[in-house]
This record gives sequence, C-alpha cells and structure tokens, in this order.
Amino acid sequence: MHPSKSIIFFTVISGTGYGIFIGLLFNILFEEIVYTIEYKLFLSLVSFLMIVTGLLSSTLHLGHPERAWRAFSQWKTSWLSREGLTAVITFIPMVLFYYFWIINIKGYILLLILTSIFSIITIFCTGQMYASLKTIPSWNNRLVTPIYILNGITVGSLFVYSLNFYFNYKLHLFEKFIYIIIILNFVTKVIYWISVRKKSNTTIETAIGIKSNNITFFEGPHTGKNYLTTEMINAIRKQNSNFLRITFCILSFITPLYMINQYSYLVADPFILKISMIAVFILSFIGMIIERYLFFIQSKHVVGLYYGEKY
Amino acid sequence: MTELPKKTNKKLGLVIDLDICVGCHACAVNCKEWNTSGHSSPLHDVEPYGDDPTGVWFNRIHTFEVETEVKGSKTVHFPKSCLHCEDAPCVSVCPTGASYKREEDGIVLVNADTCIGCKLCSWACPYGAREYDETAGVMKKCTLCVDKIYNENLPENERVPACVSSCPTGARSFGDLADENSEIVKLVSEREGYDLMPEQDCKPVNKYLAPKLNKDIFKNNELKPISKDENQSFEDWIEQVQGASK
Amino acid sequence: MINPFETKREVVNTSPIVSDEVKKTTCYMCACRCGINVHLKDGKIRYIDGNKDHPINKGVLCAKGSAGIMQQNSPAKLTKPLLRVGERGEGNFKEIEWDEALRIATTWLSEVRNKDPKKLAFFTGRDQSQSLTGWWASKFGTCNFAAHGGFCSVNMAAAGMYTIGGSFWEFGEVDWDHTKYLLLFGCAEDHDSNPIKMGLGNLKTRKDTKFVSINPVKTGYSAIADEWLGIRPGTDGLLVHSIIYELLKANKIDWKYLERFTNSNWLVYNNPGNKNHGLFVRDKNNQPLIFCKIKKKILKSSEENTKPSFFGSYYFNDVNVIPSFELITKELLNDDFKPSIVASKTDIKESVIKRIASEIAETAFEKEIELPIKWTDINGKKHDTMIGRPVSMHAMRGISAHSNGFDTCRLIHILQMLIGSIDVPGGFRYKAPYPKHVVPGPKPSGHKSIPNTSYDGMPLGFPSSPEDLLTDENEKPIRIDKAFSWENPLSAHGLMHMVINNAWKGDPYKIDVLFMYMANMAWNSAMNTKETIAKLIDKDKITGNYKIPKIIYSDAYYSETVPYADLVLPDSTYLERWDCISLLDRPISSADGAADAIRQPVLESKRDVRPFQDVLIDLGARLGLPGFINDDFSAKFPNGYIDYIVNHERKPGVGPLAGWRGNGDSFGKGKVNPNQINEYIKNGCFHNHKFSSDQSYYKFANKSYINIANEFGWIGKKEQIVLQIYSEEMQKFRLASEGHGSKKPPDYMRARIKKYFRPIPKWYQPIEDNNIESEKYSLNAITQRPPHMYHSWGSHNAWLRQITNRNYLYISEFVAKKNKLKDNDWIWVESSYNKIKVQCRIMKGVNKLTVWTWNAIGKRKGAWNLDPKSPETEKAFIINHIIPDLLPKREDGYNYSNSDPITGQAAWYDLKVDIYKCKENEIDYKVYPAFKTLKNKSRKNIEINTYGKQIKKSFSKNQSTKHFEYIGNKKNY
Ligand SMILES: Nc1nc2c(c(=O)[nH]1)N[C@H]1C(S)=C(S)[C@@H](COP(=O)(O)OP(=O)(O)OC[C@H]3O[C@@H](n4cnc5c(=O)[nH]c(N)nc54)[C@H](O)[C@@H]3O)O[C@H]1N2
Ligand SMILES: Nc1nc2c(c(=O)[nH]1)N[C@H]1C(S)=C(S)[C@@H](COP(=O)(O)OP(=O)(O)OC[C@H]3O[C@@H](n4cnc5c(=O)[nH]c(N)nc54)[C@H](O)[C@@H]3O)O[C@H]1N2
Ligand code: SF4
Ligand code: SF4
Ligand code: SF4
Ligand code: SF4
Ligand code: SF4
Ligand SMILES: [Mo]
Repeated sequence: MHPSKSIIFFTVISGTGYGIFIGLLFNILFEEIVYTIEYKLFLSLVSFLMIVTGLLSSTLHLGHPERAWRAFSQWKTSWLSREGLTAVITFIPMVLFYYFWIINIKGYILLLILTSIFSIITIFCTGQMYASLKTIPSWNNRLVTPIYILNGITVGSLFVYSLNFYFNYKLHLFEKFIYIIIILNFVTKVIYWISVRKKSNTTIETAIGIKSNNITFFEGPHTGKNYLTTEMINAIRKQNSNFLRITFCILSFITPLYMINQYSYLVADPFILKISMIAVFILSFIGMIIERYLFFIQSKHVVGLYYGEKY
Repeated sequence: MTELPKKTNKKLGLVIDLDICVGCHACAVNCKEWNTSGHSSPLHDVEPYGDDPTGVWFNRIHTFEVETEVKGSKTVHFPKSCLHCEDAPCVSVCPTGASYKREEDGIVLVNADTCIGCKLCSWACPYGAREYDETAGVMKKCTLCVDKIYNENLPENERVPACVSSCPTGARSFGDLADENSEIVKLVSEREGYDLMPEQDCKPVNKYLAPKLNKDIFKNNELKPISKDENQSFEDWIEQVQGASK
Repeated sequence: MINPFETKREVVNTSPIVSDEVKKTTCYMCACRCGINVHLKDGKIRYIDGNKDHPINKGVLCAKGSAGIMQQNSPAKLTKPLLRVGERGEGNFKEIEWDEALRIATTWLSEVRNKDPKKLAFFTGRDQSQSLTGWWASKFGTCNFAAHGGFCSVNMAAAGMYTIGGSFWEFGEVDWDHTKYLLLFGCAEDHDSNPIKMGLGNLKTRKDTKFVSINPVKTGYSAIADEWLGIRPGTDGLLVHSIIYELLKANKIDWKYLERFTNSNWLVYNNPGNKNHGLFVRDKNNQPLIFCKIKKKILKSSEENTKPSFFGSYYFNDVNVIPSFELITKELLNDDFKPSIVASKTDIKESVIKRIASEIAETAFEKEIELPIKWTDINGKKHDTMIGRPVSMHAMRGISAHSNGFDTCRLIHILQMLIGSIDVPGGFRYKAPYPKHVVPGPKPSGHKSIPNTSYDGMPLGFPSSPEDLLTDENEKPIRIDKAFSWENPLSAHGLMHMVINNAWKGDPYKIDVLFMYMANMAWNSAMNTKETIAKLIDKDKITGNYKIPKIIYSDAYYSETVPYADLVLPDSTYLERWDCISLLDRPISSADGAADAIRQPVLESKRDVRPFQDVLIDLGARLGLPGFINDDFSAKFPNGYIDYIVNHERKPGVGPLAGWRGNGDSFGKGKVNPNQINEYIKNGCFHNHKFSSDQSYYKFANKSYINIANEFGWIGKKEQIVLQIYSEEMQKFRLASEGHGSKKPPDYMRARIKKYFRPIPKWYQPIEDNNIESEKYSLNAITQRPPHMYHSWGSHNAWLRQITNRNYLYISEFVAKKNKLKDNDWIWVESSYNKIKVQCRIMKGVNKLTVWTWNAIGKRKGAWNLDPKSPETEKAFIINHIIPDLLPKREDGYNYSNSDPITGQAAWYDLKVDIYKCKENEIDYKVYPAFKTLKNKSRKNIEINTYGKQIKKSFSKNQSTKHFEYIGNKKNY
C-alpha cells in the first residue's frame, strides 16, 4: 500500500496522544505523585496538540477536507466513521479532565478513566479500520488492532515517563508497566510478523477464476501507472525492510528499555539525562513512524494479483 | 445509507465471456468515452501528453498466460470493472454514505457531492474497481452506465452499458441476474458462470464465463491414405483416385 | 443546516439529455470504416457509438473508434500551411496562407508537368481515395503513383486476383454464420477489424465449430483460438503443402467442384523448350480445351455434358498435352511435403499436421451443409440448394509480409479449391465487386511521359504477360519505384517503400517533386529508417541541392514526416470533411451486399486547414488537368470534393457513389443525382445494395450474380469466372525467362524470374534467410498490430496512449534461457544491417525461435506534440530501424529491394535477428537509437484533460426504471 505521509503521521501522533492518558492514568492510580501545575499544563497541552494535529493531519489526505464532517454519519457500519466519532466524543471527558485536573477538582480520576477508555476505543476503531480489510491480508490480522493500541500506550507512556523523569517524580511501578508493555508489544509484533508470512487464500487463481498452477501476467491495462498501481502496489526491498524492522525495534523498544534500566548507572549531568529521556521518547516515536511506514509499504493489496504481483 | 440494502429488487450486472474476449480494449475506451461526460464526469487525465500520463478508467483489460493441462499455455484476456457486489465492502466501509448500493437495482454508486475522498472504499474493494480522481478529489467508479441504461432520450436498444454495446466480439452481456427467467441467467447456468475471489465474500453480481479448454468434435486424428503403400508412385496414386472417384 | 448524522442520498437522474443532435458518419480511426453515430452536445462531441444499421460494424465500436473524441482533441493537429525555412528536417517552418501554399505547389507541379510529368512522384499512404488520387496522377501524366498497398499486403491482393479473382485482405470474408472450421493464417487485426471480431464471437459461441489460428504468437484472435499452431515465420507455405499432401494422398478432394469451377481439367502443352510449353491449349477462338473421357476427344472446356479428365496424356496437333491437374498433383505430391519432413521446419508436430488435415477433410466432406436456396448456374442449370463445405480460411500479413507471401497465399487458395470451399456456404466468400475474371483489367499505363499530357488509363493495374510490363526497350524500369519491371513484375500496388531510395539514388532517374499524402515515410512505414531519413536530407555534393529536390506532404498531425517536407498541406480530421468510400476503390461491401459510404463533416474545423481531396481537386484545376476543368478552363468542381463525389463520372453513369443515382432509384449506374448526398446522409452515410439470396454464393458461376455484376460494370463479360488453380500468367513470365516471347528479362535476371515464377506455387525459404549468416541471425523478428492503436495515429490520443505508450521485445522462454535473460533486461537486437537496444519480456505463447513486438509504438522525440521525454520516445521502439530496405549486393553491385520477387510486397517479416544482453555500462534506461529531437514550435504542455466537463448536464423529466437485456453474442435488440 502507498505509505501516505499524512496517514502515517496521523495514526502515530494521535495514537501517542491517546496513549498518554493511559500512562497518566497508571501513574495517577498507582504512583504517589503530587503533580505541579506546570506538569499538568504541559502534559495537557502536549496530549491535546498531538490528538488535534493528528486529527487535522488525517484530513490532509482527503480529497475534500471541508466535507470531513460528513464522516460521522456512518458509525453503524464504518470503522472510519466510528473512529471519527469516538475521537470527537473523547474530547468531552478529555477537556473536562484537563479542566478538573488542572484546577484540582475531585472526579478528575473518573474523567481520566473515561478519557482513557475512549482513547482506547478510538485507537481500536483506527486499528479495526485496517484490520477489517480482507483485501490486505497482512492487515486483516487479529493482532493489528492490539498492536495499534499497544503502540499508542507504549509511546504515550514513554512520553509520560520522560515528563515524570523531567519533573523528578519518583516512579516504581510505572517502569515495570513500561517494561511489560514494551515486551508485550515486541512479542506481539514478532508473532504478527511471523503470522503475516502465511499465504492468503486469495490467489491469482481465485482472482481470475481459472484453475492452473502456473498463471503469469502478460500485459496490464496500461503500460504506465494508474491509481491502483500507485495506491495499492508499492514494494520495498527485503534488505531494506529488515533493516527498518531492526531500526524500529532498537528505537522503540531497546533504547527505552535500556535507558529506563540503566540511567541510574550512567554518569551524566542530570539535566542531560532528562533531555536524553525526552530524546528516548522522540526516538521511540520515530521508531513508530518507521513501523507504521512498514505497515503500509509491506502490505500487499490483493488487487496486485491483477497486475502480476506475486504473493 | 452506507448500510447495504437487505435485498435489492434487481441485480443488474454484467456477464463476461473469457472464451471470446480478444482483449481489444474497446469496452474500456468506450466506457471512458461515455462516462467522461456522464454521471461521474469528467474522468480526468493527468499529463495526457506528458511523460507519465494517467487517468481515470472504470474498466480495464488484463492479460494472463495460463498453463493448462490440455494444450499448453492459454492466453486469457480479462476485462474487469465493478462487479456491483451484493455484500459490497466498499459500501460498508464508507464513512460518509457517499458510497451506496441502490435498492432498486443493486447498482453501486458514489455520490460525488458527499464523498470526502478518503480512499478507504478503494482499499476495501478486492477487485480494484474504484477509481480515485485526484483532480476532483473524489472516488469514482463504474456506474453500470446508470445514465444510459434507463435513458429515455436514447432509443430503447441503446439503453445498455457502453462497454456492452461496443464490445465487438459480444463477450459482454447485461441484464438482471436476479431474474431466474432471463436469458442472462440461462447463459450463466449453461456456461457455469463463476464469481471472482469468492473467498472475499463480496458476492459479486457480475459473473465470468471460463474459456473453453477442450473441444473434441472430431472422429479421427489422421487421414487414411488411399494406398497402404508408403512409397506409392504418382502413377499408382492417379490410378487409385481415378478408380475411387468413379 | 449541517447535520453530521444525516446520510445524504443522491438523486440520480437517469435520463440526461445525451445530445442535441446525432450525426451519422463513417469512422476513420482505422481503415475498417465502421458506421458511427456522433452525438453532439453544445457543438462538442458528447459520445461516439456504432451505427447499428451499418453493414460493417452493426453497432459495435472498437477502442480506436471510441477514442475518436481524443483524436479530434489532439494537440498534434496541424493548424496552418507550412513552408520550410532553414534546412530540411530541422522542423523550422513559416506559417503561410493557403493562397501562397497553393501557388507554390502549382508552380512546382506545373514546372514538372511542362518538362517531364513522370518527375513527379505522387505516393499516398493509408488513404481511401485512391480512385481520386490515381485518376489525378493519370491526368497529370505521371506513371509514378501508388498508394500503400505495396508495403502493406499486395501479396494477398495479387495472389488472390491471379488465382481466384478476389482476395483475402478486406476483399473477402469468412462465412461467419455457417462456417464450422476456420483456419486463420497470420492475422492480428486486419482491415476487417470489427467484422472479424464479431465473426469470431459468433463462430465460437456456436456449437460444433473449431477455430484454428496459425500464428507464431498467441495473443488477440489467437488467444481465443480453439487450437493455436505456433508456426515458425515464413513457413506457412510448407504447412499448407503438407496439408494438401495429406488430402491428396487420402483422396479427400472435391472433384466436382474442381471440375465445375476451376481450370484443373484444362489441357496444358507439355512441350519443353518451346514457346507454348506450359500454356493452355486453346482453340481458334481462344477457348481453353479439355479432354472428355466419354467422348474420348478434346473439346472446349465450356462445352456441356462432358466428362473432362483430370489426368492423362493426349495429343493436340501432334503436341503432347496434359490436364493441368496432373501437373499440379505431380508437384504437390512431392514427398518433401510429408508431414514428417515439414514438421521440423515449421515447428508444428507431424501428428498435429496430420490431425489438422484430417479435421479439415472431416468438416468439409462429412459436415457438408446445404442451404435451401434455389439458384441457377451460369449454364442455366437450376439447383435446389446451395451446398457448402464449411471450412473457411483467412490470411493476412503474417503471410503477405514475407518474400514468399505471394506463393504461400496461392497455396492457401489451392487448398481452398481442392476442398471446394471458395464462395460456398461455410467457406470463404467474395465481397462485392469481387470476383473478377482472372486476370482482371486494366493494365498499368505509363509507358511514355509526355509534357502536359495525360494518360488514358490508370497508373496501376494487373500485368498478365511480360508485354504488360512497364519497362523500356532495354528492359529497364520506367517507374521510379520499379514497379511492373522485371524486378517485381506483378507489383500491382507499386512499391512505395522504394520511392525514397530510388529517387535519392536517381535510379532509374532523378525526380523533381515528391508529393506524399498520409504516409509516415520518415518513420514507421520506412524500412531502414535511419538511412531513409538521411536520404531525405541528403544533398548533391556538386550543386548543393537536395537530391530529392522538392517534397510536398499532406498530413493532419505533426508526424515524424512533417519536418522533412518543404511544403506542408495541413489536412482536416475525419470528423471535419467529406470523404467517399467508393466501389471504384476499397468499398465497404460485404458478401451479402455491395456497399459504399461517405464521411460528412460533423464538426467545423477551427484551424486553417483544408481537406486534402479539396486541395487536390483545386490543384488539378489550377494545373488545368483534363477532367478537372471545363472547356472554358474554369474549375469543374468548384465546390471541391463533395462536388466531385456527386458529379464526377468515371464512365457514363458510373461515379464515385453507386447509391441513389439517376432519380434516386438506380444503383450502380445512372445519371448524376444532385440529391445523392442527402440520401446518403439520411441513410446514415452509407448505401448497401443487398444481393438476393440466390446471388449470395457461387458468385463465380452464378448466373443471376454474374448478370448484375456485369450490369454494374464490375466485370466486363457475362461469363463464368474460372478459378485458376494452374496459373498460365506465371508460366508466361517463366517462358520469357527461358528466352521465349518478344519481351524478355535482361540476362542477369533470368534465373531469378525462372526461380520464382511457377504456374504451380512451391514454397521457398524467405529470401533474407539465404543472404545472411543464418547461424548468427537465427531468430525471426516480427511485429503485430495492437488492437487499440492504428499505426502511428494512436500515440497522440490521450486515451489510447494510456493503454500502450511503450513496448517490449517479447521472447520465448527458450530464448530467454539460452541467452540468460530475465524480464525487463536491456538487450541488443541485431540484424545483419543494424541494431537497436530495447527491453525484453518473456512469454509462453510464442514460437520458440520468434521474437516480436507491437507495431509503431515507438515515436521520435518532438513528434506528435508529446513531451520529448515520453515513454514513446525513451522506452518504446520500432523495429523498422533494423529492417533492411535493400537486400545485400549482388555480384554486380546491385541491391534488390527487400520485397517479394513477384509482387514487390515489402518483406517486413523476413527479418532475422540475434539478441544479447547489454553490457552493464551500456544501460542508460533508454532505447537506442535515439534520433535528434524534432523541432515543433506548436507543442504546449497540457496538464489535465478535463474533457466532459464542458458538456453541460441537462435532464429530461421522464424517468424510466425499465432496462433491456442484452446477450452479447446474440445481439438481441
Ligand atoms: N515494422 C513494421 N513496419 C510496418 C508494418 C509492420 O507490420 N511492421 N506495417 C506496414 C504497413 S502494412 C503499413 S500499411 C504501413 C503504414 O504506415 P503509414 O501509412 O505510414 O501509417 P500511419 O502511421 O497510419 O501514418 C500515416 C500518416 O497519416 C497521417 N494521418 C492520419 N490521419 C490523417 C488524415 O486524416 N489526413 C492526412 N492527410 N493524414 C493523416 C498520420 O498523421 C501519419 O503521419 O506501415 C508499414 N510498416
Ligand atoms: N488496430 C489496428 N488495426 C489495423 C492496423 C493497425 O495499425 N491497428 N493496420 C491496418 C493495416 S494497414 C493492415 S495491413 C492490417 C494488417 O492486419 P494483420 O495482418 O492482422 O497485421 P499484423 O499485425 O501485421 O499481423 C500479422 C500477424 O501475423 C503473424 N505472423 C507474422 N509472421 C507470420 C508467419 O510467417 N506466419 C503466420 N502464420 N503468421 C505470422 C503475426 O504474429 C501477427 O499476428 O491491419 C489493419 N488494421
Ligand atoms: S467490485 Fe469493488 S467497488 Fe464494485 S461493488 Fe464490489 S467491492 Fe464495491
Ligand atoms: S472515498 Fe468517498 S466513497 Fe470512498 S469511502 Fe471515502 S467517502 Fe466513501
Ligand atoms: S457498465 Fe458502464 S461504467 Fe461500467 S464498465 Fe461498463 S461502460 Fe463502464
Ligand atoms: S470489448 Fe469485448 S472483446 Fe474487447 S476487451 Fe472488452 S470484453 Fe474483450
Ligand atoms: S474498426 Fe474501429 S477504428 Fe476502425 S473504423 Fe471501425 S470503429 Fe473505427
Ligand atoms: Mo497495411
């Protein structure tokens, strides 16, 4: 599939924004921290901006962004519509949460729980939008949605972690939480990578309906490109994709694990450490962008069968 | 509604006979010609005289070489446009309702006034039957010539899809595949018409007829010479044929 | 109010108003000439579809025809007359007014006509107004005229005309409704483009039928064949020999048919060394004779109630005479033609050849069909039914574009005659105005070139003996293309492909003006493109003048040839002009009726262009050519071509159009009818004179048919047309080569004439094979027409070029393996002449020793108003660059043209090549050779084509929900 920049950016950044709430919720529930107002304002602002930029950038790839509001109407059937709707609904508890939390009104925990739930639902819808597409066998996989959610939580939590680190908040359980999430994410990812190697039951034989064990593509409808070939048929060389997969694992999984585990042994200026921890978040974010890029570029739409693509 | 109708009164669609399609692209170009000024007009072409021209087409011809047991390879021309699926995934994924299936005849259309151009429907269609018009920013697709097949301004016998009336070999048929008594349904059952990618569960309305691979209509494989003698002389041959033709 | 949860339903108005007006005319996106309905809305073309009433296409329309809108829209259209400034080939032109253009042309042409008219070479390409252009040439007084037939398919035309009085190509058709077995030789598209497709659909959807395609490549029609025979190019003649051999051995022959309709019983002198050897034995009245087995004597062949013998040795005036059939069978039963021997040369298995022969016989003789049609034969004998042998054959350029094509085609006709399937139900059928008596008149005229003097006859014709050749007293060619000379005696369509070379070389003489129309001679219709282009711009070292001094060219688009003209006359498009598709020329007839057609202008041209025919008629008047002026020197057709179409009479009562003559009620002959054109327009721009059912078959011996054909002036006499299984004409040339007769080939050509002129055809290796190192150049290289492109006309069409804007050299898996090639590799394709660098692709359905590509996709940079970086110029190629125009030198330094030695047909498909992978450092991802970019100031970049947007939508209120069922091949409307 064509790796559209705006879609990649949108899904990763809004996912991160939503993930922040999960991370925060964990902290609020299980860590004893007294949050400063700066912390609250900064976290609120960043998560808000992430989600909003994400949503806005998602309209960038639309042919008619000015009509985007129409996308809410088909929530009964369309995951994209549901995503849009939940994204909007999330804003309600989210904004309330910001407000309650910042001026410290009771009940913000409840609102945070609600925000987190809707955040997960929103990412879930995003994931489902891809996972429900039978046409792209590597997306039509039970692990796609969990991975979307795990990715959001991973980077979101890393953000919260780096922020906590910056504010010198003491963390105990949260580090464990991040370990678990990252390991879970990694394991899921590996299982996913293995599982998508399975051959799809849609083949050139079913595509044209003729039985034969040797069907080759002779000529296409155009000697040049067309919408389908540019949108659905993209390839990346095996070496490159392996390299990118490894890079992704290093950036999004290994670096944070290493840093969280090792920072206390590192001899460095505390400020530099803080900045490094923010860099860790940024690197993992970049790793996620790479992962999302691979998610598109490596997946093959069955329409490729009509264009001589081999699966 | 992007929800699919529970049932459509008619199932209008095409039947394509791969046994006689010569891959001439007539249907594809005539489709483009009708539709560029039709319901989804215009079907833009980008850089039409440039170094990488491209454009919007609703119907396309692909060619494959198929190895068969019977007679070596077979070249198969394979035209493909929207199959107007009963369980059209392109419709149910659409967030805006722009993509819909008509209850009255099952035609799947896109409302160009409400489509936001998210392309999701084109991802959902396994057949590559959706065409994003970059210039217009909306999705387009085969309309089954909805503005031709019912058009009161055309003589009755011209109210058939453009690709069907133009096809020189007659490889394309059009009709109501829900009507058990129709010729088209008979044709499908006679020739065992089939669905493309049945495992995608789209229940396409359009049907394909397979190339006939084996045709044995002859009794003999070889002629019997009038003489058993391999080295029969010319004179003997004359004598024998003259004898035989008496 | 915006309600985000609302589903806005579209209201589809299903009855838009399609057009304000539908104008019917005739398509010209190719030479098939289908009837079209042009739907016009707001003065623009809304839609073009097929005319359902039209005899050719019956409502269907091909890809090219459907893309007519974009041809009209093409930015490559010429807009104004152009006069060269600067050097030829640079593409620097000055736009001039028509007045000036016509003045210049008139000056150039009248200078020639005053001095020596033959110094005008007038060659037209793919046009369909040869009866006008040929007539113009003859009135001008130049013999140097021809259209494109010489490089196209004259082998098919000539072989047919010299054998059965009609031919394949577009002049005959398969009896699609009845045939049960079709053998299609070497045909990808043909001129009968839509009719063949409709026919194949029909044939294949009927039960109990079989379609066999004999073709090195399995695409297009061959893809749907029930059986594909992947023959080695150039060997079809051998295959046919072998089938004939099998049929003869098994006595599967239609003796009755041979006896009644062919010359197989005619007696031939067996008198070696004498001037009558091999000629027919004739009586005082020139009637051929036979030997009657009952009466035991020699009688006139036309005598009734005889039992003519097929074999035997008799004496006539003490000379030994033998029925031609004995000579024929003796040749054809040669053991060299045994399937087991032929198999390895044709790449078709012995068992397959045997089976095909057996299937042909089984279909012909056991599946005979009988149509309940009463008819009367030429002798007045009445028959209750028409019997048919439902085996049909059709052949095209896969046969004709070889240097042995004439004889291969004759062999196919012989096969047809042996099984009795010419013009019978289920077989091959003639289209009107064919059949004609063999050999049809007229003879080529042009012996003398006298200042300001016209010819009575036409430049082209059919020589029937050496006396008819156009050679001078030293047996040197008279025509610039050497047509009708000893080099290619039966070159009935001229040799357009030799004109540039000969004119450049001054062989046989220099010319002053080369006048070309609708032929892309500097590109895809040239052989050896590079040198052809060089010859067009070559200058005489001493005088500094161009060797071809003046070139006038008429094209409608900025083709590769335009920059090589000194004066460009821009033509209109086919939707802007009057045209006439006449029975005097290449009509749109079918076997069921004689039909002709016109084109009417459906759009007004907004450019300063003029229809070429108008211009030619204007020039004719300006030059004062007889026929083009009245006695008072005023123009005879002041209103141009349309005036000519209606008012010109070739013979009294016979004009360009046959329909609605006289008072509007006569067909064929009748006085000029001023209202004729309106009648054509009313009828959809064609007229179809349907034959009655009793005239539909056996036309060569069908009394009713022969009578009307004679009345309409198609044939000169009301006599049976006897099919010539044995060719006396060929024997006459052979005798000349042996020194008999008054006109003899020069000594050095005797062996050549003797080798190729045979009364009974015999397959020979294509000539190029004998001239090159066949070990090295072991692959056959051929091209095919893509169904959606017409030669070079398709690439400037915004839609068609999206389908194909580049090509590959397709190779077999065998060749790929041998040369270690993969898909998309860059390779060199080398012929004995030259080489090109292209990309290859591997396929299954191709003869293992054949490589091929689509024809005419490659374009020259700068032409056709395409971006000079277009795939057409950087990835696509034409193989013309490596096709030799001349064969290697003979001992005396002379080069024959790369043509069939009999007809002069260009031997495009004789090409032999070697291929090998490019070296790494040779790969620049562009084809070689790259020619200089042609200059074209008119090119603009068009970013987006929004055609259709301009057409406003309006709807009629009525909404219908009724649809019509349409079952493709049944055409049940
Ligand atoms: N390698 C290879 N070469 C071949 C062949 C092959 O099979 N292989 N085939 C050969 C054969 S059979 C043929 S017939 C030739 C064809 O070769 P050409 O006769 O050269 O064919 P076209 O490309 O059709 O070009 C004719 C010219 O007519 C112009 N034209 C188009 N419409 C009009 C019009 O309305 N008016 C005027 N005045 N001009 C117009 C076009 O712009 C073009 O320049 O090619 C031959 N060349
Ligand atoms: N779409 C389209 N239609 C056209 C044209 C066009 O350019 N485009 N051009 C028109 C013109 S000018 C012409 S002359 C006709 C020509 O019409 P066709 O005769 O159909 O022309 P080609 O494409 O040259 O096809 C020749 C076929 O012969 C095969 N062949 C080559 N060598 C041999 C051989 O030795 N033996 C056998 N058995 N087969 C062989 C080739 O594979 C090819 O399939 O088409 C006309 N119609
Ligand atoms: S073919 Fe594709 S576009 Fe057409 S209805 Fe089916 S899924 Fe939708
Ligand atoms: S592109 Fe248009 S029709 Fe397709 S899913 Fe999006 S809104 Fe619906
Ligand atoms: S039915 Fe109409 S829109 Fe659909 S492919 Fe055919 S011509 Fe095109
Ligand atoms: S027009 Fe008919 S024969 Fe030609 S490609 Fe289309 S379906 Fe096939
Ligand atoms: S075959 Fe096609 S291009 Fe040729 S005349 Fe007919 S419709 Fe026109
Ligand atoms: Mo041709």
